[in-house]
Formats: sequence, C-alpha cells, structure tokens
Amino acid sequence: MLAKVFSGCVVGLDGVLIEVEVDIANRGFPTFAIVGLPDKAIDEAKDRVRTAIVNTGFEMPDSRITVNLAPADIPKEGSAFDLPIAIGILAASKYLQREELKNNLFIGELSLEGDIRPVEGIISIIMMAREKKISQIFLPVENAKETFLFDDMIIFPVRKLSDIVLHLNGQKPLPSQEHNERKEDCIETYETDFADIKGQETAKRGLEIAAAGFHNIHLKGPPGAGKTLLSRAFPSILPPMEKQEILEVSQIYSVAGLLRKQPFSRERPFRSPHHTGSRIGLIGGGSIPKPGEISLAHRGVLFLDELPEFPRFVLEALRQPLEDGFVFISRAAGSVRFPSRFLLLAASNPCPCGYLNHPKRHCSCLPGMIIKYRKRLSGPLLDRIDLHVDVPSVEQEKLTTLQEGETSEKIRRRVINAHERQKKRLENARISTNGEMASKMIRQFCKLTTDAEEILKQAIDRFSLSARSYFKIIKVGQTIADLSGKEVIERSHITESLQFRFYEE
Amino acid sequence: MRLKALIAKFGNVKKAYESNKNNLQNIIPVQLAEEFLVFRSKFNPSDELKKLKKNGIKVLSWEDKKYPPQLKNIFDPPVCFYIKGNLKSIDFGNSYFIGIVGTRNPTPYGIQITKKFGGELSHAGFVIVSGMATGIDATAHKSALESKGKTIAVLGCGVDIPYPPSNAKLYSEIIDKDGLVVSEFPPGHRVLKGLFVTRNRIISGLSKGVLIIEGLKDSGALITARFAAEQGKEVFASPGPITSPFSQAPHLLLKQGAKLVTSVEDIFEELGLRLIPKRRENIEMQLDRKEKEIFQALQKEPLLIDEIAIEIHKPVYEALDTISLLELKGVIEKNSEGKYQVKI
Repeated sequence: MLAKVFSGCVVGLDGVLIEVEVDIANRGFPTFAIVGLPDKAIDEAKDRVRTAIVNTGFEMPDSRITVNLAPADIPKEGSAFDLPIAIGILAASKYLQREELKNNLFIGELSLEGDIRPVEGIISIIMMAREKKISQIFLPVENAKETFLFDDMIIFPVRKLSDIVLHLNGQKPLPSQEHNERKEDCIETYETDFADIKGQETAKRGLEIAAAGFHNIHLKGPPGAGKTLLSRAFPSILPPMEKQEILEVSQIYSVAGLLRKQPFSRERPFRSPHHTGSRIGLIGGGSIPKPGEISLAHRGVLFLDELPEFPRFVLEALRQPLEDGFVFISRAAGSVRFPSRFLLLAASNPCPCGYLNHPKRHCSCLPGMIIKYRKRLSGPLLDRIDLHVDVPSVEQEKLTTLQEGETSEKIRRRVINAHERQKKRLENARISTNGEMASKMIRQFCKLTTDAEEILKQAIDRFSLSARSYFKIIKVGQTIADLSGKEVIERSHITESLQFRFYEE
Repeated sequence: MRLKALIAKFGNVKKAYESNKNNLQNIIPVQLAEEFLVFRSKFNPSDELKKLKKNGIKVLSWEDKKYPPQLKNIFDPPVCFYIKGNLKSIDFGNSYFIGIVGTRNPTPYGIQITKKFGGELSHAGFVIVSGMATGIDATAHKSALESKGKTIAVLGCGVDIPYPPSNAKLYSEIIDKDGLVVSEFPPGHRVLKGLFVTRNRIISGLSKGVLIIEGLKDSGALITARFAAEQGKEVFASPGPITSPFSQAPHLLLKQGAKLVTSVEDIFEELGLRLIPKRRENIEMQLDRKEKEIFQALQKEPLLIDEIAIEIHKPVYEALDTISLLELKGVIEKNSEGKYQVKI
C-alpha cells in the first residue's frame, strides 16, 4: 500500500514542500529504508517512529517499508519528518483513511512514547503551505505560539500522535489554534528608559535621529561614559514593527529555533554579539546554512560594542549585508539568502585602553597601537555609518545637578511620526526609511531650501567633504526635518546634521 | 585707607568733606584734620574743576562709572585719577592692558625685544601701559604708537608735566594718537623721588600682567613686579644674556617663578586667552546673538556640546545648529578631547 503525506523543510529561510511517500510492500525481507538525501537525524527517525507507533498502541507492519522524501535532490535534515513518516506508515497500514491526508501538512518530532516535540522553522513552512494552498497544518503544541500571524490557516497544535489519529478518523476532533491571543504576546517591556540616563543629551539626540531614519550610528567615548547603557535603552525609542516586518523577523527566528524561547512581540530585535564570536555566528553559515546575528537583527538593531575589537575579516564581511540588506551564503550544496536589514549601532573607545584624551585618566597606549586600532574602523565600514556621536565621560558631580531627561515614550512618539512621514514619501521607491536611500533616491526625494543648500555648499568647502559624506548629511538632514515635522530640509536641519559627521583625526 | 574709613563714617565724600572738626578727628589724626581744615578754607572745588577743563584734563573719582574697575581691586587705589587725552578712546572695563617696564639704560637687545613685544601685543589689541621713563618705558610706548595701538603713560607727577622733559615729544604724541597720560597726582604736582614708586602700583594695577624687560638687580622694574605679584597679576619676564648686568632683574624674577616669555603666545597662554583681543572683536562683530553667546562661553574654556547647551539654556538640537554655523564661519573647532574651542 502506498500513502502520501505532505510535510516541509527549510532551505535557508524558505520553506520547501516535501512529499513523504510511504510504501509498505507485502513481499520481500522486512526492512525500513528512508531515501531522498536524508541526514543522520532523519535516518534515526526509523527507530523513533517504530517505537512511537508501537507505544501509541498500533502495530508496526512487519514488512518492507520504503519512505521517499521528494523532491529527492534536496538534502534534508532534522527530526521534523518523524511525524509525517509515522502518519504515512499508519495510513499505508490502513489505520488512517488516506483521503483525509490530501489537504494536510504534518510536521514534528516524535518521542518514543508518541509525544510530539517542537521543531524549527515552522513559520517558513506555514508560509510555504499557504502558497501551496494547503489549509490544515498539524504541528507540535509547543510551536503553536509561532503561528498567530496566520489567521487564515487552520492550525492544529498537537500533543500526541494518537490525537491526530483520533482526529483524522473523526473520533475525537482536535481544537484548532485560536487567533485571538495575539494581544497578550505583544507586551513591550524595556530594561532601560532614556529618562533614567542623565546627561549625554547629544548622544541621545543622535540615537533619536538614528531610530527615526534607521541610520547606522557610531558612538565613541571612553569606558564608563555610558555607551552601553545608551545602547541598551535604544530599543525603547524604536518604532514598533509592522505586520510584514514581524513576519520576516519571526521567520528568521523560527528557522534559528529561537522563537519558542522568547515570546513574540512587535518589539524590534536587539542583538549584541560579543567580539570573540565567530564569523559564522555573526554572518551566518554552517554546512547547512543558518542565519547569523546579522540576520537575527533583521529589522532591528545589531549592537557591536568595542567595534574595533572585532576581527578584521568579520568586519569586512559586514559590508555587503550593510549595503544590500541581505547576505548570501554559498555552500557546495547551493547558496541561500538571509535578509539582514539591520541598524548597525557600533560603539568604540578612542584607543585600546580607552583613556586617550581623558580629562582625568592616563592613556597607556603606544601611538602605533592607537593608529592600528583606528584603522580597524576606517574605510568601507565607516562609509556606511551615517551618524558619528561622541560620548564623553561625564563627571559624577555634574550628573547630580542635571535635570531628568525626556522619557523614551516621548521620544518614541516623535520617532514614530517621522517614520510615518518617510513611509509616505518613499512609498514609490519601495523602501520605508531614509537610511535605506541610495544617492539617486536622495536626489529624487530630498528637497532643500535655498539657504540649506547655501550652507551645505559652505560646509563642503570648509570641511572638504567627500561626495559620500555630502549625501549622508542630506540623508540625516532629511530625518531631522522629518522629526521636526517638516517635509523640506531647512538650514537648521543641515547644520544639525553636520554635527554628526565623521571627524578625521 | 583713611578715605575709605571716612566714607564708611559719613556715607559719601561730600558729607565727609563738609563735616566738622570733631567728627573728622574721630577718624583721622588730629594734626591731619587741622591741616585739612586749613586746606578747605583756601580751596574752591568748582574753580579747580574749571581750571582742569581748560587744560583738557579730566578727573575720574572713585565713584565715577568710568573709573577703571581693575584698580578698585588693588590694595590702595587712587582716590582720584587725572587723565589727559581722549578718554573715550579706551574702555577700561573691556580692554586688555599689559604693563611693559624696564631699565632706563637699555642695551640694544633690550630695545629690540621691547619693540617686538610692544608691537606684537599692541597689534593683538592690548593696551600697553608704562611709565614714560626713558629707555624701555619710552620704547614700549613708541612701539605701541607705531603699530597704531593704544597706550597709557602713568606719571609720577601731575599729568600736565611731561617728565622726563626729553620725552616731551612722546608725551604729546601719546595724547594726540588716542593714548592717555594719567596720574593720581593733581596737575602741577612736581616731580618727587618717592612718587615714582607709588605710580608703579598703578601700572601693575591697570594691567592683566606686567612684562619686565631689562633691569639691574635693584631696578624699579622689580618694584613694579612685586606690586603685580601682590595684586595677583601675572609677572612675565624675558631672559637676556647672563653676561649682561641688565639681565639681572628679569632673571631674578624668573628664578622666583615669573613666566618666561619668548613670544607673545606665551603671554596669551598665561592669560588664558584663546584668541587675541583684536581678532576677537572683529569676529564678534560678524556673529548674531546666539552665536556670540556660545563664542563667549568657549572663549573662557573649551566645552562639550552638552555643556554648551546647558550654558545657553537651550535644547541640544538648537545648540548643534549654532555650533555648526560657528564652525562653518571658521571661528571654533573640535579638539581631540571632543570639546569645542575657539580657533586661533
């Protein structure tokens, strides 16, 4: 008897429909073979499936079982095929009605007892199923949280193999996933509020502009000045994600298997990989490519503390993703594309020890070390950073005299308004933020008043700005204009923007 | 001192002047009070004033608004200040004054460096203060006039007496070219030996600092330097050849901790001037109100952007705007500490 069950796997980020064909032949020596480029985990499915079926109370057919995972040329991995294989065997052994399987997709790992365990990449697979017009999905109960965005699909979170059998045979219908629990999952909590940080008004303003226009930003200052604290507070002023963005982000997190650990929210991701991490960890990769930190920071913030401490080749690898918003990972088995439209928030010290030009502490670095340290930052990476902000150390005595800053909530409202403005303006260019504008778009969308142009011309002469900085200043100026509710860039927007340019030392 | 006590007692000078003998004796010695009463009977203030006016001499009393504020802070400021010259040409409150003093018998080297410093300082907008004696003093005045700067001669006699007579030409030149000749002694007061010492305290009192060029080890310049030190002013000295006896005074001061000066920048630095006064004036003319406010704050010390915003009581984004404008005008720059400073 032959049974056909739909399942899916993930290649890169995309879900691929896999047909699990199970044939039970009555002739021949009893074997259990899985074909279609399975990896070790799939091969081991045999034993899990056999035991799970038996422990659920069915009989494992004592004959020649062949399982084919089609298309056969895609390498498959993981334990998510346990469930479809088991369902296929049960259907082929006539425990299930085969017609019931047509419109369904199964995914999940089996325990020896017949319980269903969570798997990775659910969102990509559901998206694929939606495209292929498969309307019912059976998945592990622990993956149920990942599905709330798909309110047009019928999703059955399942606890046990036996539940599916009872459901499909019409004996005991399973409850389908309800879609109204979304709100609970959208709680936004932030560790640090901007109001808690005293002083550093310039840096806060820089971060506000970065958040509003999704500009890459670089904070420079001695240790203890508050760079990390400011960075940690940064997510609290970012605008919430839209549905499409949540979907993109969840898809990545689902593939990386991280969605189950942290509840889903509209809060943008904030990733802060340490500089001792590997390149693969940062960029993504592996023999079966997985998204790295830059993709996990998609639509959110990639915070690189101590930027110059990152190995050079890791920083170099950041260039393409910064420019294009995605990263290509090529392997012998093929190349995959992970989105990586992140906001780079970089922090660095003025020198390796951190105390160069510090008003009180003494710097212990040799001149050569300082040059080397700075060089790490130079060139292409700096070109992609729009805002450069000094974060000087603030004296303790001064802190106590300063008044409370603005709350994150207040800043965030301005940021959200600025975002709306940009989205409207850039609708035709199919981007949504100023930070993404290429120079051609800057020419097309940014309008300057005559005195703004005049002052910009002066600035080019006096500071001998490169063409690239010129565009950056307009870009940032546009965001400042958006923040102040103006459409056209005025003189004061350009002058403020100038303060966030890169200072050659 | 006595005048201060009198004013404290009577409220103002006029009441003190008109008070009776008994009241005066309570405060000043009996003999002096009697002398004063004799003087009062002969003296007619309004006639005196008329006479002064006729000779083009102005009087600044202690309570006068134009009275140099820096003099009020010294131990024994002169009660009255007689001035010959165009008083409007020098603003005592807002100008930078520097005293240049030295020997009456300078070496060619002394004259050379006096001309250099006098010329450069006066070009930078400093008002050169000296004592119009022959030698270094006279050279200092001349160098100021040559570079079209301003100068003040403080005399140890009445302002109507050009002393020493050999400098009569310089005297009239100072008055003609917007300089001032001042003295605390009334016109007609004759030259007396001890008075030159007391006028030295006015040279240092008017100035931000005093530059001593050459002098023997018992030079009068050392007295001026001592007054300067006592008044909390800077003492500058230029070294000379150690073989020359006229290097003794400056070298002695240098050993005692005077600032060694080999160029005018040394003086600017010690006075905490980021910008020479003359350029500063020119710059300030081009700035609007907001820019000026920041510029003046930075003139005192380099500041971070946040500190500037606090200083001008504005949100940081407004400060950023103005800072950029100043930077574009080439007036300020960012230093290696990340602070903004006035560009020299």
